[in-house]
Amino acid sequence: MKHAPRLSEQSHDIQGILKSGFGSLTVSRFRLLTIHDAKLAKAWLAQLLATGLIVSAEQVGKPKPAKEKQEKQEKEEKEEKKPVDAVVSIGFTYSGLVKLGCQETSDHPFPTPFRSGMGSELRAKLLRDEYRQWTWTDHEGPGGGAVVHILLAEWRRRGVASGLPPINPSAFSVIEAGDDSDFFDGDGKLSEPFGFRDGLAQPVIRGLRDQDGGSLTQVRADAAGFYDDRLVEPGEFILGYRNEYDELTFCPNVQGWASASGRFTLNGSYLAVRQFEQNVTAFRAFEAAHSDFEAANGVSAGEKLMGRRKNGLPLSWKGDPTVPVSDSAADAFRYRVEDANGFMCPKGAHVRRSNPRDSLGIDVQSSIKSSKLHRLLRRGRPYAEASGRQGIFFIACNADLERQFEFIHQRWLQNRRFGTLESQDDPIVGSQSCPKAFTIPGEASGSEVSLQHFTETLGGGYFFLPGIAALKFIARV
Amino acid sequence: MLEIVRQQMICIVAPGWSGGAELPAPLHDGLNAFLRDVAVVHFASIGLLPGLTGAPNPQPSLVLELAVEEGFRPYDLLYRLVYHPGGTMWALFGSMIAPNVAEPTAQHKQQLLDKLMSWHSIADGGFVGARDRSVRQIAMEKDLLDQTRVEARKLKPKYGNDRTAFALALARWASTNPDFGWAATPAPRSYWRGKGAGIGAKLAYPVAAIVLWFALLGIVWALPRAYNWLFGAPGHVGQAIENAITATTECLFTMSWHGLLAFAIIVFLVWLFLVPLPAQFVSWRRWLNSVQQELDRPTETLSSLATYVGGWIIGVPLLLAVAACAIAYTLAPLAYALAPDYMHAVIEPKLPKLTGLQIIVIAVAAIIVVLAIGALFYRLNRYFKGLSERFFHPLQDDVPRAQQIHPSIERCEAELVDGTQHMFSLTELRGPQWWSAWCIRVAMRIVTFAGRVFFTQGWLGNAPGIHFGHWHIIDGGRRFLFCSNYDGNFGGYLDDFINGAAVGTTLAWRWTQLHPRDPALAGQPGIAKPRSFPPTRFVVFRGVKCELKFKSYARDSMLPHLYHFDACNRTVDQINLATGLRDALFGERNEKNDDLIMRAIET
Repeated sequence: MKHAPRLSEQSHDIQGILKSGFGSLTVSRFRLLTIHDAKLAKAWLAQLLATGLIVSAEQVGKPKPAKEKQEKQEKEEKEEKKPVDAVVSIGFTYSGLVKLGCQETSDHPFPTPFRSGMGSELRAKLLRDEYRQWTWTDHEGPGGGAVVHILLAEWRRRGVASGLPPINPSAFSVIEAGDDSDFFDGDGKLSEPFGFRDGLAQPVIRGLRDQDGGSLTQVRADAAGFYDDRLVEPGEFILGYRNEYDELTFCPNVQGWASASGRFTLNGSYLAVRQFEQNVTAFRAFEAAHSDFEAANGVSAGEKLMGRRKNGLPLSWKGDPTVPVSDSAADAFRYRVEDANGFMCPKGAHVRRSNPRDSLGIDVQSSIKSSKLHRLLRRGRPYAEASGRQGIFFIACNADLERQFEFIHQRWLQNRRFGTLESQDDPIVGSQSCPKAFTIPGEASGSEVSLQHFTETLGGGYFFLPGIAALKFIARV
Repeated sequence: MLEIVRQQMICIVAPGWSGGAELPAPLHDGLNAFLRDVAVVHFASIGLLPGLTGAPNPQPSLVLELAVEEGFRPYDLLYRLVYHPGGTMWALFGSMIAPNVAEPTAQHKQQLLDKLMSWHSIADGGFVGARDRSVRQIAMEKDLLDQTRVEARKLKPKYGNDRTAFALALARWASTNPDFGWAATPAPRSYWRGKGAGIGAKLAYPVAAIVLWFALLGIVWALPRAYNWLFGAPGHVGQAIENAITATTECLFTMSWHGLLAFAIIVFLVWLFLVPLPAQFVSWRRWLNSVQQELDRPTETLSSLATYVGGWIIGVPLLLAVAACAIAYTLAPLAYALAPDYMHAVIEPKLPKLTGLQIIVIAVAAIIVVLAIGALFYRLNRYFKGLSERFFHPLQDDVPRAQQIHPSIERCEAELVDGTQHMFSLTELRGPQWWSAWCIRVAMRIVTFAGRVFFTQGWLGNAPGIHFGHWHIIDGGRRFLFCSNYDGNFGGYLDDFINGAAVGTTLAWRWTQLHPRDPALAGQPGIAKPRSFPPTRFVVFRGVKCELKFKSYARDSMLPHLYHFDACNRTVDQINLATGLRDALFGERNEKNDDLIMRAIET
């Protein structure tokens, strides 16, 4: 009987994106590559690996030493964290892996959703994307768009030039999702184009915590007893480890892979990627049209749609909303006891749908346990083009596309009967035809507002984010 | 009582399907019109079961699943379907009775009815979420809800912030609206959702049964004495009868209260160890939780293996010993009645002579020892952290071909993405099949009973969204068919089972396995490699908790539907909300009802 790999011993092989959102690297850029020549593509991958831009989780923070005391450990974390100026993460679609010569084995094939691809007709139906007009995708389907094979995500510190090896047009064609974009303010807080703080409400991977948010002691204290709500087992995001079912996440394999540690996909993850263009003008016009709502209620109608205040505080925040608080404190809330009827955060609001916390089950504990089965580690960033178009390049890391991304998208965001709602999908990313209604519950009875589309999906795909050793294998296979 | 539930879910398995993998469009449309017109069918689905391995006829069987209103006997239902003027049942099954006959005669129809009766199977067990509503009721209550919302929009400017006045105005509008005269009568309820819904009522039944049993014994005991009192002293025969009745009733009486006492002590001990002691002692609570976690653990660890072995060495003998003591104590009066000398001379000297105080001291000491053992293990785990990490670290596990879904199954799921989902699952019974069938039937009756009596609010355990879920043992006890109509998607549905009804699901499915089988027709899923249900520990633990194995097992056992009918296309939550609104609008004017109305109109 052999023990499964330990996360603490494998962080050198896990891409850094799974540990950190790289909050200090404020400039981001996303590229989608279509392979034309596999040999040249591999050569380019080898060059990329040689640049050292693809960092491991170990390089963006020390793994947790098992026997050290907590204070000592936190001190070490601060002392030994190496600052990185630029990071690249790379993921491959199923067809990309096949193009590069990776053939799945018959006993351990890739999961059906990944093989099928987000762009396929079947997934369009399952994801309830009513109308697709995509510019890129991972698989030929009803929305059209170029079929891409590789996702290249780059984060850089302000003022640092890109260190990517030049992309040979014979090897790839490239789609750029936005230009170099920086949506961080002077305090290092990220906001998306509608003006909302972004990147809050992230799950914390047990044993691989992102230290961007401050010391563990402080974060726990700020969470006021709700810290465990966001603590999720590593197997929910990294393949090969214990997940919330206490089971090792399934690791597919490819032919020719030989490693004593485990299969090809060990230490990898799946990325569900969508490019949303945000119609900022329409959103502002909506808020202006409902300015009387803000005057009467203290929060804008737009904040009700999102389910959060623009500064990131929950709508149920009881303190002075103008006083800044830590991200951990801003994310320490539940719905069931304080806001069961949605008087503060509407039941159909975007954040309540995408993470219902304790609101959907039979009691608090079972609801939280259940919602942990459907969490996403969001690593996307807002983007902007020189033309003025802007949006979010949404990247969600998850280990089970069906149970996590697809479930959230199909059953929560796009579900018009979410809870007991009638004919209402997500007010921000829903694909229902417009104008559509959105209910804002209230005393005695709620009100309804009419919505237009505020976002449009321009493309989407599923990518596999390999471990470092697997990436080297892809480059030389 | 269970028959009512089981008859609501019927499967007709008709062997020898010679058609294709798709129903012709006219038949599809005809079925829709026919089922709407019949108006008692909530859900209907058609699928193809692959031929039985080794059966002379390799053709697939056509399965028609019907989920119908409460109170229909299968014959009455099938009669209604067969003799419907549309003749759709003949269009579906006629070729299996008399090929190439387009217009059936009365004799043909009778033959079809007889055949359907021989092919039908009522559920061996099942659960109905929105149990006691008819198709018509769901549709009418939906209409009431929709129209109330429309009316509320009109009234809102007038009553804006006054909940009581707003609710009263809506109630007045509803009660004076002639379209809703039907709603003034309270929504019909099955007994267990209505008068019997309280826990007091549910407890009263077993208590009443016990009291009646003792009363019956008392009456039987008193009968010969009453005879003597009325008619004077009996003769020899009468005396003998009186002695026999007295001895029997006194023996039964003593056995009954012995059994009752033993049962009460066991219940008390279970309650003591699972409720107050965990609440009082943190270490015991954590140790108890960790034992359950180890028994349920899907990926093996040294700790789960040790717990399992420990369970066999300590737990099982201990439980058997407790059960043996209870049985011996219950049967002791019988032994004294049958062989008093042997009991006095042989057995009694071997029994320890203990005073009541000594028994109490021993019991308390035993409880303390058990608590101390729990605390010791808990502290050992905390103290030897390094060792403990190794002990609890998962061992490598290989689950081949996990997370694979056949395209035909995904297509079916995509087709129903905006409505109620459906699944057919076909597995084979594990050998010996008679034993598996018996175990399944017992488990199914327990699940059906629990669903009927306790889980009356649309949740099975903690699993929401099930409209009709039912199990059938078919093909002479060889195969096991599971059909379900549920809200959500398949993965989420299984997650609900894993988290909310793990024991019942494990009990229902652990007696099955997957044998290699060819697809029913080209394009349908087959099974390449045989597989067992995920391994269980002590019958009820683990099993479905192995997510990968369980989902893969369930996925691979699935068959696509050729046709699906949903009379209402409402979620269980929506159905419950509409009924709640009806009761609130036409019920008492109080805060609870007013609030329910306000919440209902803003959905």
